[in-house]
Formats: sequence, C-alpha cells, structure tokens
Amino acid sequence: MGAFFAVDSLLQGLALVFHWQQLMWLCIGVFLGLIGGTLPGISGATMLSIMLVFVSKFPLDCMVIAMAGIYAASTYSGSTAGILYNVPGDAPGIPTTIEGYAMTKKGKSLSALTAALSGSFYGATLSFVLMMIMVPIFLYLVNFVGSGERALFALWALVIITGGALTREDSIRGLASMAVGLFLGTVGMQRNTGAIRFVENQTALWDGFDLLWVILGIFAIPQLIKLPYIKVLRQERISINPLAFYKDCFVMIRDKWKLMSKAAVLGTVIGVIPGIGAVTASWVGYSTAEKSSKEPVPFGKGNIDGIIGAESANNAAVPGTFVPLLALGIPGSAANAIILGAFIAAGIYPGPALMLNNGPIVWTILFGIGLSGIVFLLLGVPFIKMAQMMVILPNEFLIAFIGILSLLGTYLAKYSVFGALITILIGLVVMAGSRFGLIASSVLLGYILGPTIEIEFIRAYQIGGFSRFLQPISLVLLILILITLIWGFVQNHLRQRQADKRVLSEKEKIEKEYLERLDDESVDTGSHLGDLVFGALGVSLVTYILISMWNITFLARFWPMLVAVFFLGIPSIVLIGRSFFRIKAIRQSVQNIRASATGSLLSKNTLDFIVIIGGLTLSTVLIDDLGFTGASALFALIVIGFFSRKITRTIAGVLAFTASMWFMRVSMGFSLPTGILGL
Amino acid sequence: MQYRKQVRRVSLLLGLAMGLLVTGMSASAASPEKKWPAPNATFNLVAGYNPGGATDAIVRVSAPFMEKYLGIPVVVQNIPGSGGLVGTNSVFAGKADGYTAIYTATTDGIWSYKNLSPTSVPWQLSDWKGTGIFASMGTMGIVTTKKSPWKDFGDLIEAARSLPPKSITLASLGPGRLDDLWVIEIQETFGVKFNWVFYDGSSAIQTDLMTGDVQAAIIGVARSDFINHPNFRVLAGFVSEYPEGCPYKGVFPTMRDFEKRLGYKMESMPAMSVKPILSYIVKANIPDEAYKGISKAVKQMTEDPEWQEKIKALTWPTYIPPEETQAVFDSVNNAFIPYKEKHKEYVRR
Repeated sequence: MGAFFAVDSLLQGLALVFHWQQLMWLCIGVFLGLIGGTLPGISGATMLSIMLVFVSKFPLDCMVIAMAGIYAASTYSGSTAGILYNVPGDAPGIPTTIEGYAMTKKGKSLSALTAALSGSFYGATLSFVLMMIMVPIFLYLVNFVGSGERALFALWALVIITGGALTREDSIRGLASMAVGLFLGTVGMQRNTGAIRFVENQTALWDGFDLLWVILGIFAIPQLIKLPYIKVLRQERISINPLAFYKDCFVMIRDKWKLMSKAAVLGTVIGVIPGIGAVTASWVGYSTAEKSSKEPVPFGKGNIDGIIGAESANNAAVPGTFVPLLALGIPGSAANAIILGAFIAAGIYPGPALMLNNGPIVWTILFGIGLSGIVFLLLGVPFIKMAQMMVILPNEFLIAFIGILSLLGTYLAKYSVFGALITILIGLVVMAGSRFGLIASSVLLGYILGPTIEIEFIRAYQIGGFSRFLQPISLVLLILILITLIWGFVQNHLRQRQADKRVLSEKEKIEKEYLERLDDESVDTGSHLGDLVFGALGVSLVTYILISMWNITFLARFWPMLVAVFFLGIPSIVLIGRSFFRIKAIRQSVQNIRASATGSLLSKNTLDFIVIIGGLTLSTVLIDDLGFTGASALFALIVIGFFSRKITRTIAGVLAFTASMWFMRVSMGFSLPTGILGL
Repeated sequence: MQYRKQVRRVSLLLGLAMGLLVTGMSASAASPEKKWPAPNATFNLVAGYNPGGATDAIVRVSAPFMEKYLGIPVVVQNIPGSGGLVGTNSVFAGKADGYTAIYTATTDGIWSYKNLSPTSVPWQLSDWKGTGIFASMGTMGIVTTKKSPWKDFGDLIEAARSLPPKSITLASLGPGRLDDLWVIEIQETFGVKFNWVFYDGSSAIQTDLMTGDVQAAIIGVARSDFINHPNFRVLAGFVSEYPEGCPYKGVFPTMRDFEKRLGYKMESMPAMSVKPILSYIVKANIPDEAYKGISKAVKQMTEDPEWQEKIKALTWPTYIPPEETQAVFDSVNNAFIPYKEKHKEYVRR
C-alpha cells in the first residue's frame, strides 16, 4: 500500500492546497457555490457545468478544488433563501426550509441561519475526516480489479442510480432515460474497434458528442427557459453581528454535537453509495433529528433540530460522493458526473492508477474538499447579507449570464459553431423529453458511464472471453446487478399498485409543493400520456438503432444493440403496456391539452421561449462575424431588452456584459473570434 | 393587446440584430486585404488532444517561442477526438489565412488518418504542407511489469514462440495509429500471435499491466520516470538507436539490439524503421508570405537553446528544413501503404 500512503505525496498535496492560488480558487468556488445554492432555479450542477468551461485554462487541481467548493457551498446555501424567503435554492434544502421558514415567521431567522451554518460545517468537516480514511483504502482495493470488474462496477452503479432500487424514482422511466444517455454515448467511434457508428458522414462527430455539449445542453439550456418564472417576494432584511453569529455557531456545535455526528455519519454513508446523494441524506438527517429531538417545538413548526439534522447530513454526503468517484470513476450524482468530466477533460482518469500517477493532485483535492467547510463557514456570514440582495436580482441578467457562458463553453470545446448549436438542440430535446418523464440526470449519468462500461466490457471479453466474467469478483458483481434490477422492478410495481390508493403523507405533500415551486425535474411530470409518448419514442429509437447497426462488426454493434433491446426496448414496452390500462386518464390528458392548446401558441410562455432560444441561436450563428464579445452583447440585448422593458436597464446591462466578456476573452487568452469590430 | 406589444418588441429586437449583422457583413466585405501577420491577429497552435498529455505538453512548450518569433500572440487550442483526427478535420474546415498550424507526428498524424481510418477523410495529403520538422526521435516502446520473467524484447518473442498462439495479451494504443502496424509487423516477422487489445490511454494500460490482465504493452517510454520505474520494465524502445546525449541511450534496449538474436533486419520492417518526426503542418493553400513566416519561426525556435533544453524532457530536437520536409513526409506515407489492406483485415478480425 506504499504508493497510496506515500508521505511525500501527501505532504506535497498539503503544501499545494495552502498555496495562494489553490486557496484563491477554493474561495472562488465556494463563493460561486453560495450564489448557485442561494439563487432559486440555479442549481449547484448549473454552476459546476459553467465552471467546466474554464477547466482547460487552469491547473486541474485548482479547478477541481473550485468545483468541490461549489458543490459543498451550494449544498449548504440551498437552505439560506429557504430560511429567509421560503424558496429553497435546491432540493436538498427543503427539510431545512420547512423548519427554517417557520422559525423566520416567529422572528427567529438568525437562530435558523446559525443552526444551518454550524450543522453544515460540522457535517462537512466530519465527513472529510472519514473520506480521508476511505479514499486511499478504496484506491488500494480497486488495484486488484481488472477490466471485467471495472465494467461491472460501473454497470452496477448505473443500475443503482437509475433503477430506483434505493431512491424514489420511477425505475422504468429511470432505466429508459439512462438508455437514452447510453445511446448518446455510442455515437461516434467505437474505441475497441475503430468502427464509426451513426455519424459516418459527419466527421465533426466522429469523437461523439463532446462532454461539455451534453452537460450544458442538459443543465444550462433548460435552466434558461425556467428562470423567467421563478419569483421571490421582497421582504425586510435582517442584520447580522458577525462576532455574535460565529459565537452562536460554536455554542450550537458544543450543544448539539451528538445529533450532528449521528447525522453526519449517516450522510457520509449515503454519499458513498452512488445515486442516493444529498436529497435523501437531507431527509434521513431530518428523520434522525425527529426521532431523537428533545426540543419542545413540534417538527414542521420551526424545530431547530430538524435544521441541524438535515444540514449535517446533506453536507456530509458531499465528501462521501468523492469516494466512488476517485476510486472507480463512478459519479454518484449529476454534480459528480460534471466533476468527472473535468478530470477527463484534463486527461486524468480516476481509478487504481490515479494515486500512482497523480498522488499530489489527489491529496490536494482531498484537502481542498476539507477546507471548503472552513471557507464557507468564514464566507457564510457576509454572504447571508449578500444573499438577501441577490435573490431579487432581475432574472433576465441571470438568463444572459448563463446563456453567454454556455455559448463560450460549447464554442471552446471544439472551436466550432456546430458544437454550440448541438448543445442548444440537446437542451431542446431534454426539455421536450422531460415533459414525458425523461429524467435528465439519468441521461447524463448514462452518457458518462456508458462508454466506460462498453470499452471495459469488450476489452475484458477480448482478454479472456466470456469466462473473464465468471471470475469470483465478477460473478458476485453480476449477481448484485441482477438483484438490484429485480428489486427496482418489484419496488416499482408495488409503488404503481399503491399509487392510486395511497394518500401522500404530510411530509411528502410538503416536499412535492416545494419541488413544484422549484420546477424540479423529479416532480412527476410524466403522466400516463407521458408514459405512452415516452414508450412510443423509445420503441422508434430502438428500431433506428437496430437498423443502423445491422452492417457493423459484431464487437461494435454488440453494446448499442444491448442498450436498444434491454435498457430501452423493454422499459419502453412496459411504459406503453402500463399506459394501456389507463386509457381514461390518457383521454382526459389529451382533452386538457386540446383545451389549453388554443391559447398556448400565442401565450407569453411561447414568446419567452422563442426569444431566449432564438436569441441564443442567432448569437451562436453570428459568432464568427460579430466576434464572441459582439455575440454576447447581442444576446444580452435581446434578453434584457425583452424581459426588462426598460431602456436604461437594457443599455446598462448590454454595456456591462460587453465589457466583462471582452475583459474575460482578453485576460484569459481565450482563442475566440473577434469579428468585424475586433473586440 | 399584450401579445401585440410583445410581438412588436420581438420584431424590434430582431431588426436590431439583423442590422448588426448587415453592418458586420458589409464592413468585413469592404475591409482591404491585410498584410500577414496582421498586428492585432492571433496565431492558433492546435493540439488534437486534451490538455495534460504528451502532445499537449510539446505544443505548450513551443507556443511561447513561436510567439516570440512570429511577433503576434500564439494561443494553444486543444481540439481533441479520435486520436487527433477531429482537430485535423477542424483545421482543414477552417480558413486558409495562415493563422493556424496543427501538430502532427508519425505515430498519429495525417498519414495514419489517411491510411488507417475506417472511413475516408475529407482531405488529401497534398492539402497539407510541413513547416519544417522540429524533432525526430521515437518515443514509443514495449513494456512489461517488473515481476515479469521477460527481461527484454527477445525474451518476450521467445516466450510467444514457445507458448500457444494468443497466450500473451499485448495492449496498444489505437486503433488507427502507427502502433497498429508495429504489432502486425512484429507478429508477421517473428511468426507469433498475440492476443491484441486496444486501449485509448496509457493510464488504463498501466493499470491492467498491474492487475495481470495484460502482459505486455506498447506505450510512450521516453519519460524519465521509466528509468528505474518501480513497477514497469522497458523491454525495447522502438528506435534503431537513441541520439547521442539522450538519457535513454544505453538504458533502454533498442530494436537494433535484437537483430542477431532474433534473426531479422530492422530495414525489413518498414513500419518499425520509419523515421519518427514531429512537425507543425498548415493548409497547403495559405498565402505564401504566411507559409514562409511560419517556417522561419519554426526554424528560429529549433535554434533557440532555451527551447532545446525544454523540449528535451519530452522528445529530442532535430531540425529538417521545409524544402526537405515533403520527401520525409512521403517516406512516412510509404511505410503505411503496404499495410493498408492488411490493417483493415486485422481490425475486421
């Protein structure tokens, strides 16, 4: 185990993390995470996907530290707007919002904020200690697994994440969505054989869809459309005395450390298991507090233990998710998938050789994750003040900001307009699909893990034939995959049977209400009609894959065909099958759509959509002529002009975006078109 | 009423946008031909790989020196994909204005794309021009683990001959690289058959060497950490000989060292004896003034002692002027041609 615990590597990592450059990036990451978590409608994943744009410009350790900072701080700050304004920044902030806003109404918002910050800090710090022990052990253990096991581990993680065995997702839609991602990952060159699939005549796609196109398409583009409808009411601001606030935080840690520890350990364990993540951790921490609390206030009416339990657990889940990510390259959540994207973009592959080849970087990242807790504790107080101003920031500025950075990232990925247009197309497909029950995060995880599974599977087969999968560890993994799949299906079947009879619990009702307010994708948007449409589209895609793959060599067509038949075909048929038993409900949905369709084509929503997507497409197409700065100014002009309806604000916004984008292009040395104006 | 207002606003914005576009188009159409290099222009040095790898490192070492000698800012563009092919296609699709050059090498350059790609590429070799060759040393070789019984390349071949076919799993980067031809050539020259497996990065190969899934691998060995590496042993460097002063000379065996023992001549292996080169190529139809300017900058860069010192950590500097480059390029292409059909057959199998 020498290489994994090499002291020089560890010391180098420790020295690096305290270097001013790394500390600066950590602060930037934490700051962006605080913003992302606080602003309703902008998730940590959106902020991470924007950060991915800059990965190639700066050292990887700095970027990953910044990304870890975003992830940790956005998880913490998801509760700040929830406590103050009853609008959680993201889904993990919901339990805290329930208790926190109830406290705010009683005039105890400061206590709620103290509980959230101290619980978050304690959870993140304890989990960091546990992660420091687990990561090297996991990295050492995976040294004994070869190609076959790596493929099966990744497949198992994918089945856990998307099959709904451990979460409350619909396993059929989860698997079908994952299959869409797996299909996306098969486009282009098959790495073991060199065969080109689906895009033989389109050389720009021989390498498949670029990771950045897919990530920004899934997270940033749909966000642009949601943003105009997220509103926060102005409320009176609270004032904070920093010294007294920090003192209260430490008093709270002293008094509540037992509850915090219990919730943090549970949160870490949940984080390590792929696919469960911070949302479940929040509720588990909340329930733990509910069981052990001695506070007189009932839960739901402003119980401080509910905040502490939920915050300690969800912040502890964040470092936990890095264990499977670094050891096996398996992302447990969409945010982790984006961080994995940063590794891949920098040419560093997680797995057994990681510590051997990049020991100091790994230690720097691990220490950086630990430090992020301290940094968000320090930045937390000034940030609460800022958050109160930020949540009322006009949404059109956010739309312009995210749209322009998406344009920048997708263009830089391959220095082509084509890629930026593909990103918009992916975003539109995801938005349309989510109306029928497509789960965007499952698509991303399928896309990220699919190529790894295929390459390792075929390689393992080439190395030892089918018998390679009958070695003891592989066999155990195969059995676990089967059990997980069957368990997911059984659970889903039981859920479906009970769905009509069951009355939602009080907690579930509240969660659903908050998620609807966030327009979260996990809300059941896919009705029975959605099942039918999703199923029919799935069957069409299966037919296309099977026809396209007919003449390709066996090894190159094996995986796409497996994906088509088992992961997409069977779930699609089940979706169609189960919708057949709900004909009445489908007819009702169709009638509802017809009734609302009369006005929808002329509605404000349609116009908003045309302006945002049309504006972004136009700016993209004109980037070579107008230059990046000019195209940014054009998009800002269209969006701010349309939504703000104020000339002064539009001019100020356009000037600000033009100046900042020009400064960014010049200062970062991005090779971007300067256009006719030379800007 | 509200709807009409909004439509009016959209039309106004679209009008503004179109106005900007028309102004832009007419301004660019009216602008006179600029002299190369334009003082406010940027020169793009393209690497067809992600940042962080060996190719990226070579390009990044060169960038400041190219900037110094071109006199305009030089930006490194990473356009990864399909072993460098996506970047090459992207440069080909771009303007022939003399502000872009792409890194190419014998192992994974225009010759391998042209001859080994599964489908035809959108350009001909004559669509490219070399700006001089700045390095010429083979960086690849064959490795195994320290625990392996094979001490050198000869041991490996003798073991492969004595064992049933495909008993030894050999990994290589690919497919679609010169490395493919080396494996075919080794198998045909020595009458052995490996269980040949492709990888897309040397990191995964190293892992599988350690787990025992792979017994030998063809990867980049010209790295100082491979001298007395704790886990790996270099069985042979795929070169005739390492240049004088090179740290690998006398440390790693070369292919020439086994001629007598294994009974072959390196010259009878065209792919193995092809001249390894590194060069920046440009589109053949760029302005002549630009071509001369870039070639001059490459020459000045290779003469710069500071650059020479820096590049030695990655490869070995050698300069071949542009007028001799085409002949070298042709000889590289000739090494690929005999194996073109055979390669298709191997990959199909």
